[in-house]
Amino acid sequence: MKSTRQEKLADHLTELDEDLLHNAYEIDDAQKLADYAKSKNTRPQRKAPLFRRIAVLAACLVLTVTAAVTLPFAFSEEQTPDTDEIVLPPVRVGTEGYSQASLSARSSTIESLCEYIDVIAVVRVGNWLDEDTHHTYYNAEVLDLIAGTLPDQFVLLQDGNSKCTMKGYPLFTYGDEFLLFLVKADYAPEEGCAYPNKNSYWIAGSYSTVMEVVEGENGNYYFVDRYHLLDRSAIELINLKTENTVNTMVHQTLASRDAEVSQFKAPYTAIYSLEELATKLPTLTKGG
Amino acid sequence: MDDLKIIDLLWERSETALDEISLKYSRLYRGIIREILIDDRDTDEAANDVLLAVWNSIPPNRPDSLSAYVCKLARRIGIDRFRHNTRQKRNSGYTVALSELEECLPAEALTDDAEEKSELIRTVLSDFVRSLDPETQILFIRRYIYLETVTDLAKRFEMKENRISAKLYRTRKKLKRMLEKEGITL
Repeated sequence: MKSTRQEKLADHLTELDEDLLHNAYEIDDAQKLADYAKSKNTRPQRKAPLFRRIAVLAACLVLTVTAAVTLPFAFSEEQTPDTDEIVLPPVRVGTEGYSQASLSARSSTIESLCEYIDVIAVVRVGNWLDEDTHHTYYNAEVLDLIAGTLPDQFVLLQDGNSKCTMKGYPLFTYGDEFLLFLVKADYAPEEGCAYPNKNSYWIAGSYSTVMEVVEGENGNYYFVDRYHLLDRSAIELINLKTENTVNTMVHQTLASRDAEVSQFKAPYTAIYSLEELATKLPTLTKGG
Repeated sequence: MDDLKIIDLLWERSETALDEISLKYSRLYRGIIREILIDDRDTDEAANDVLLAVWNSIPPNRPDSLSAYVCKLARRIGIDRFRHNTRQKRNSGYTVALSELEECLPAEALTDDAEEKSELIRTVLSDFVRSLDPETQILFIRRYIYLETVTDLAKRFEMKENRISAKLYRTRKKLKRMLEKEGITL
């Protein structure tokens, strides 16, 4: 019988180095797993220090300008972009100031929000793609799907653009991770802009529903509700803000992560665990 | 009895070694086989085949880890038997694990040179598993090599099933990206 591709992958997995298999066999309870995680806890920092990121960005800009001047043919229409190339938004905060969002009553509680959204997902923001009069478009990748269906890669819309952003809500940047409540975008693109397309999704409730993702020790994931949307809802969730260790770790991580965001001194009134949200949110959605 | 002593006994062609392996590792290899085959009679026969394979392959082999060696033999024998069985048994734990692994497969078409690349694939997979955080590494191996169910893993490690499922989901996606990046087709 001919092997399927999955079976071939399973066969290759059988050939993993024996020390890995032996180790996994020996670690057979929660305590041993915790000890092992502790002994190997050499996780690299999530992002490079700010000065290093700025230096890398500056170097990229210099290289880009140099290449554009000396190798104009490199940017011909036939050239396809390098998939590994990182494209950052031109600015994080609008150059012409701030705008106000008028939020719909539909997104005032988690229950009302869940009545009209299509997807709840943990996503990682990828390259900046484009912008129109009111929105910015990014590639995004699904890390966890909590409710609904979504392609692995999709186009994410954010309210605001390089001219005008909302106060406390800078443009996303490459590598940001959020838990988002998404709705499929079904309006036509503006002239000169390729987006939205059929794989585009916008964030229901704009900035008010965006939850930041913090990875704690031992692979625990926490979601930080900056505007305590869930706090106003009837759904009962355990707010981990009262756990000092978690609270301190989350605040330190967020403060060091993004200079643009941390300067707004967001209150971060609620912290939830992945288990908590992954268990309770799907029951509120259309498909739940 | 420790593994080195058992291996020495095998090299001395002492059948006591098989009793010791059965005593020490039957739960491991029978558990793997049962997840693949489901059927108790098939499992019994395949478990005997594992002991026979150990007897026939040591010597000349002298594995560093007897548990890993037995695990590999159990998977190979279980999978071989599974492939020769009828399609009626396609709802085994092995097929469930296989269907999850489908998410790791790159989009490229099936090619015939996969076997020639097996060493590269083995290296990439080992590097990938080593790169995982410790908790995910253990969960991944136990799920996809020892074929433990998410429910069993949750009980064993006192974790919630949702959390384990989420970790495995992330890991499968990550593995797919890694295989694509390395240009590996299966």
